[in-house]
Amino acid sequence: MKQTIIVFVQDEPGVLNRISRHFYRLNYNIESITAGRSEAMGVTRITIVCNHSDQYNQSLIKTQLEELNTVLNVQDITSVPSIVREYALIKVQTQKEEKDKLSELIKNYSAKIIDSGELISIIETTGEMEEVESLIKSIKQFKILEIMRSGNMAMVRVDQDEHRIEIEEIDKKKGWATQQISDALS
Amino acid sequence: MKKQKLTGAEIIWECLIKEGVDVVFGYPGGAILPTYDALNNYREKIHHVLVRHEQGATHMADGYARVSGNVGVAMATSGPGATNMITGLATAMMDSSPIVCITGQVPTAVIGSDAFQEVDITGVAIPVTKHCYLVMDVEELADTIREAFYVARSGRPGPVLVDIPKDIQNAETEFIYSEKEINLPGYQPTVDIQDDDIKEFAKMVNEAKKPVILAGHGILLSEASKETLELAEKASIPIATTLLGIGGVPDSHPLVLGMMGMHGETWVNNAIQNADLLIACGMRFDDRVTGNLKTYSPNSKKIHIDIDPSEINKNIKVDLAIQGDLGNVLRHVNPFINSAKKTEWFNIISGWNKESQQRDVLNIKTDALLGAQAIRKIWEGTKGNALIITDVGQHQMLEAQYYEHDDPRTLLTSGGLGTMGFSLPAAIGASFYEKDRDIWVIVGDGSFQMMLMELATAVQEGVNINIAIINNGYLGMVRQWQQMFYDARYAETPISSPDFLKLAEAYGINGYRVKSLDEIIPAMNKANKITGPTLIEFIVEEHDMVYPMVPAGANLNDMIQRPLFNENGQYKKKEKVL
Repeated sequence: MKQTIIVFVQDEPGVLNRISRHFYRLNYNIESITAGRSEAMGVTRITIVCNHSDQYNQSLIKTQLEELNTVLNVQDITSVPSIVREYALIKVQTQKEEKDKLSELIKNYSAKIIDSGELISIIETTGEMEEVESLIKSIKQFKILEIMRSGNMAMVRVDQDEHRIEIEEIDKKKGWATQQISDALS
Repeated sequence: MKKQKLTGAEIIWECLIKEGVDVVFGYPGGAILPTYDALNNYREKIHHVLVRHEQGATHMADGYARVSGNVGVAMATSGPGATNMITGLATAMMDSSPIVCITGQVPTAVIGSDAFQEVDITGVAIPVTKHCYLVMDVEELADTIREAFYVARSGRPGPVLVDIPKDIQNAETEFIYSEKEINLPGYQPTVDIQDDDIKEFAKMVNEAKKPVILAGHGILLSEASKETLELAEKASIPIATTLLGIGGVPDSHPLVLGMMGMHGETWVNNAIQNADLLIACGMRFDDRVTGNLKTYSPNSKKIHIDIDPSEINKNIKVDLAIQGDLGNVLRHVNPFINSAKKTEWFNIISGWNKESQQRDVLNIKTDALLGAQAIRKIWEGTKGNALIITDVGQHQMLEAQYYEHDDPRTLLTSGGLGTMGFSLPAAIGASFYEKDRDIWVIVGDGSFQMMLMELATAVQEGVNINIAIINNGYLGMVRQWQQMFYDARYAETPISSPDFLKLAEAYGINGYRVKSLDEIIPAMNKANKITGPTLIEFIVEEHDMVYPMVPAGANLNDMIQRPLFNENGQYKKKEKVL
């Protein structure tokens, strides 16, 4: 089954290592992992989509991640209605006479050509994973040179806002340790 | 007034003193040299034990921690010194033992360059530690060590590693040790107890006809012996213990059934399988405890109390889960428990008990000494009051079956990881806390040889420990599996040993050898009169096995029993034994 998890972590070296080993240990395959800064300073937000056949205990990965000191919060949104989107860049080679066909084709998707040479174009798209896949499938008639997909990012829907997690800021420079030294000195 | 600056090395020792550490087990080397140099100024406050192998240092810190409840400290250099600690860290991790390991690291400028004796030890140690740190700034050193001790001892205890590069040990800064409460954003070891859970807990106990308490290591860690007994006595509930739960409740207490699981007694496992309510107290439903998960205690409701939320619903789905400190939870629930007698339930259990007595090894007459008999004699000889440290294998299970522990923290053993070689160093570590106690290492001939270099440490420190080597000439437990499940094809399980008496002599200690039941107590008395380590070798029957046994993955009540014997104390079918 596919499971989508949002993890809030302290932005520090080695944190991904600490997280990813738990997926490996449970023999879960990570389908995509996307990380970036969150609304709180010093906190990185990661969306992980994993795939496994463990029907028995789906909360295991959540409880194990929550136990890590560098993990602030974990949210399993697999069954929470959410906006799930992927961003992708696709580099395509076409014959000169095919260029119009390509422009016409991608109109059916929320995609556009953001860079274009004589024969080669870069297409940018966002959408649900299936939409991105469908676009790639239809472009396959041309020569695809490169694909870069961001993997899924997720946010629970507005009407599900009670699921939103408030994360406190962590200023590494003013973390608890340094803060306490300066408190003690003053 | 400006404070005097200290080096990182001095700060390490200052921090350890602030944390109440008075003994450190370690081994010097290049990358930890500045810290060992600074040790010379702290000799009055901290005793350093020079080990013979860094794994020994971790087990010593572990033994010290298990017996005292305080954090044990081990120290080593970078590279091989640090990697030698991994087995000890994993042992402490599996058994929730609070230790802090301090390792030297190559200077920050060359980290990542494959410098001499460099290894990414924090990378290696992540899976076997509760947390680990690499200190890259001397300003963060004191707070990191303080945090390490806090993480090691709070919540579910565990091992923490602090890796400190050589230049950080040399760098200078002001030493400030904060007294403030530690609050880590991603780490919340304490939780509030919900009233509804407590009421539900009490209701389930009050309604149960055939309940069993499963007493785990959490009873010792939470110091909840009194509360557990109060619950058991009030509602008349029998108690089964895990291997690490032994001693948490007195074995001599009428409600205490004994150890459960793979080598648990028949009546204990039967009680669990036939129960209508299991109250799991600080235990984690390990596979050695449950047998086949699908058929485990099929008709019971289950309550699980554990401080670690990731243990709840991990192996066994429970009906009521309470996350929290065991003692605290039981203090809340006990006032709501109704007094009850459960005569019928106890009659059923004692029926199973009587049946098993017919097979008890203590009632068998044998020419050769049996391991179980030897351990029972040690129990008699120590009046059940000794601190026992066992290793891993047949002797470990026999000890759990035949040595009755009435007090918490009187049995130290590697349960979760099953680390051979654990006992001798753990006993040395424990002896620095239990200075006046009768300490016995019970160890197999295979296990002893895995860590016997630490005998030199025991001699150098003059620690008062007695080492009982149960020698059957085999890696007995593995051979038992080969006997039972591999048609007795003994692949690499016969093992030779040095002459242990000559070995004792070479180390300058007294050694004794016993071959029969009658020789045991006199040999123990001789050993007890001697200050410092002593060694007794017990020559026991080669092919004896540990019974009963639940084969791995079998149903908990499908036990292989010791064969029946006749009125003369002889086995009815000899070939069954061999």
